[in-house]
Amino acid sequence: MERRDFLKFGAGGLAALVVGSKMPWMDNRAYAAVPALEFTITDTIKEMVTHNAINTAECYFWIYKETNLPADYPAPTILATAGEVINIRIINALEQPHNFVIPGIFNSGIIAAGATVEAAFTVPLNRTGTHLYFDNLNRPVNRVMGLHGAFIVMPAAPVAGQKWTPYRTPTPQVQQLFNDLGSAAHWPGLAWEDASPDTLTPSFRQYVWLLSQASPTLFRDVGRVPAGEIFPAADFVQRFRRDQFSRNSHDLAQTSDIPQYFTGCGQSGHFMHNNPVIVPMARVGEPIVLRVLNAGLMSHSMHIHANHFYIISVDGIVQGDPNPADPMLKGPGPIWVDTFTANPWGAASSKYDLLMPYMRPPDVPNSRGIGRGGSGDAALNSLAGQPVWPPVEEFDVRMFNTIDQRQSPLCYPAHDHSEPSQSAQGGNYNCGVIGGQYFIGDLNISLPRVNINDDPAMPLLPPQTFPMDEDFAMMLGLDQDPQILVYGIDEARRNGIMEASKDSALESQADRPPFPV
Amino acid sequence: MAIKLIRRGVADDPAEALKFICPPAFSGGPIDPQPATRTLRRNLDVMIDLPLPPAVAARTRALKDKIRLWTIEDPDLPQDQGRTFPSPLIRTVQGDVVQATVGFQLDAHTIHWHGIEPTPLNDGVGHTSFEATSSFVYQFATNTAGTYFYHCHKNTVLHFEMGLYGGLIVDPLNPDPDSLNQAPYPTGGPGFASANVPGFPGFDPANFVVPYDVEAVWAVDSFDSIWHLLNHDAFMQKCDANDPMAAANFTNDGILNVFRPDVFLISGVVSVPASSPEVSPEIGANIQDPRVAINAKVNQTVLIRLLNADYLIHENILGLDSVAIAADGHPFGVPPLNRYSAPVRIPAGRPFRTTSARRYDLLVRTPAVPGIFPFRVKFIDWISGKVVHIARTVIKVQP
Repeated sequence: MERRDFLKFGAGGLAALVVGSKMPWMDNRAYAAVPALEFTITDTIKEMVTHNAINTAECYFWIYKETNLPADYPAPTILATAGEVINIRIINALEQPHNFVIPGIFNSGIIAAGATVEAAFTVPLNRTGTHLYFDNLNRPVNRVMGLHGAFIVMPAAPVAGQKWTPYRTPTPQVQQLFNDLGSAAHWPGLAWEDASPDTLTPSFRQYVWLLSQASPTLFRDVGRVPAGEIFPAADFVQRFRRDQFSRNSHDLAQTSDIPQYFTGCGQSGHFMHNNPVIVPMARVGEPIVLRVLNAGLMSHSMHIHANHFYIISVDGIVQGDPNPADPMLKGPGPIWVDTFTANPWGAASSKYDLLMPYMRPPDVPNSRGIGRGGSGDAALNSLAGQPVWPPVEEFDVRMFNTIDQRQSPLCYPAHDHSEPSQSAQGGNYNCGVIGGQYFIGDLNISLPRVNINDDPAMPLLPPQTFPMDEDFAMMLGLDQDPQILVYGIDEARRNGIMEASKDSALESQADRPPFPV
Repeated sequence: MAIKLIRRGVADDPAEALKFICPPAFSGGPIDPQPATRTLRRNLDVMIDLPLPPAVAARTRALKDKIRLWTIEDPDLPQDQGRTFPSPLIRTVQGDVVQATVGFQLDAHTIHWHGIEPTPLNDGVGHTSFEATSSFVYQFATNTAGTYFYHCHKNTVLHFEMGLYGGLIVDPLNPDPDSLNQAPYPTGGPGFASANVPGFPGFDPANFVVPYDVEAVWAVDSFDSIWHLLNHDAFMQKCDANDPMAAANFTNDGILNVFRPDVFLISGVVSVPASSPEVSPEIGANIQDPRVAINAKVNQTVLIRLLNADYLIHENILGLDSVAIAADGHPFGVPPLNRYSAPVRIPAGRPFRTTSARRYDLLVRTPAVPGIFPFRVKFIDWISGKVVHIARTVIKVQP
């Protein structure tokens, strides 16, 4: 395995694969279409966030390697449509039995070492939403070792006469929320299903944060188990969790197997926070669905800055529809919060769908006291006589010693507030699990078009876009006018969206990477 | 046309990497200054030592009879009120434009106004904006009434643990402009809260506010005494602006993923073990300190603002029926933006969990007869899932 390969993909060249018939929600340049799924269960060593020439921070993982993509941890996000038939082929190139399960949708059965399973399954109509595909053998070892990925099921159509939601049967409250986007006075801008070709905004904007944790010493030891033997699950859990409360103990982290790396989509720190296929980068008025799964073995308390968000589904249960006799006796419906609990897989509250409203950060002062944007909510004027939204004075505050970088587009973090996960190798704040959201413009106010880098020789940015530097515009594809479309896998490679896998042939056991000693 | 790749160690995007790895130092403000309707001051950090009761000190890992805290000072109060843990409560009024002048001593810090949503330079996160030195004037509106908090967001894993936080409450207006009790309300009550609770005593459906008689702010926290021996920049990567990804900048021997608390508190009051050392989990004695224990009369409304200021998971159990009217500062069911949700009844004795930074506002109607009603919080480790301590206090209902 070339380490370069998973760096390319792991660096976020592609958000997801789509499988099945062409559907309107697939129009997104970050997707590539494949006719069928093929995975090889294998292993890899990945450079972790703090890796460098002196500090070889690496971790051993088991992975599902998708045939068209370079190897990475975790496996790629797959999007499919309810009711479609999907063909799948899974090869177990490891030395223990494994499987591939999407609860309620598909179960490969046990795949012996060296064996191959071929199957076809129909995605049930009633399973729209967010799922995890994973290996549930020797629970939780095989899953936590890296054999997991997100599987998203979209409805084939919206509820008749209503706007699209992510569900075939949304609750009245969630349907109302999606109906209001782009329609109600308090939600000017686009509906979720709307694209905006002028601004190069795709429809059905959605992102996945697949959370997990890695213990390099424990994972290494699992990888050393002789062929045919199974690492005891109870030992794995005990070493991962370790009894942390032996109060007389003064020993420190070096001897501990508790996790040292905390990842979202396999990335941490800068590599997660500034990755445009993990972290939404959108304009006010471009609402986004964010799907969060915790495939690991410990809890996170995720806090998103800049906008409270709506929790629209928890553990596959669309929120709302309370008991009409006493609405207070059931759940509160889709609540609007700034922090939520992502428990480990298998516990309650391990899987969420969120609606990120992409409203103007509401505590930037404006005339009605709510950051809705649009008419009637004009920003207040600063003492200099200019509106404080967009914050043009802030855009041009420059504060670096060596790189003269502006503060636009607007950058916010989203992180675990159980802050020990904001570390890597016990420190290096903020190299932990940190996403975010960027505000790159505002659909609801008139913004003059500006050149990239403010340089007349550079192309104009799309309308309604905040000023930005060349590297950022290139990262978002705003330096030109790309067509928004779903790529076939070959087309994605031609367009450089996806690096061609160096060798899609199966890796033999002999090619397995050596374990770090 | 490629989506740009961000490779390990290559830093294709050096400006973004630099900003994230190596936050700049900055001072001054406010940016885009506006006429403020409310001004306040804070200084940090101010060190105080919290004495530990002997029963707690004896079994801390650091084996100290006090624990070093860093706090955020209100310099406009006498020192005994301005230098406290948690840091002095901030109250603003819904719709205020706030300017907070913050002095930074000893070290670079920031303040993040958690749940308040201003521009990035006023959001107070070092790694996405700047770390402040000398002083900075943060400017933000407080547009949604509810329960928030403020905390330092530099090397946050350590600085939040060290005590650099305090409560921030945004009060809705009193619907009666002639009342003598106008927002901001006195801490402890009486006052008004934003809510949508038809049928609740005093609920005003025109203004979506409900009156309360007694207010409590419970910030539930725990400390790892070993961490409190560390310095400001402990286990941070070094900042080399010319080469942010330089190998030598990173540390690989830190302990900040190992949080093993041995001191448990509610609103700064230490929970003292009352159970024998063999009992697991250990159970704290009822906290009677007036900063925590609630004193109310029969047939009153109590508003409890509950904050998880910890890294552990809390399982909360209240001995009276309550109604959760808001989460994270945003009231359920209040239109237009929260029209999609509704308040929730929590029957007495039903446990509910909170994790770090989550807040619930709970309305409690005291019964018609006097009594003493318990509140318990189980501290659950977020990795092992084990209950490690149970802290207790009471709601005393008097004639």
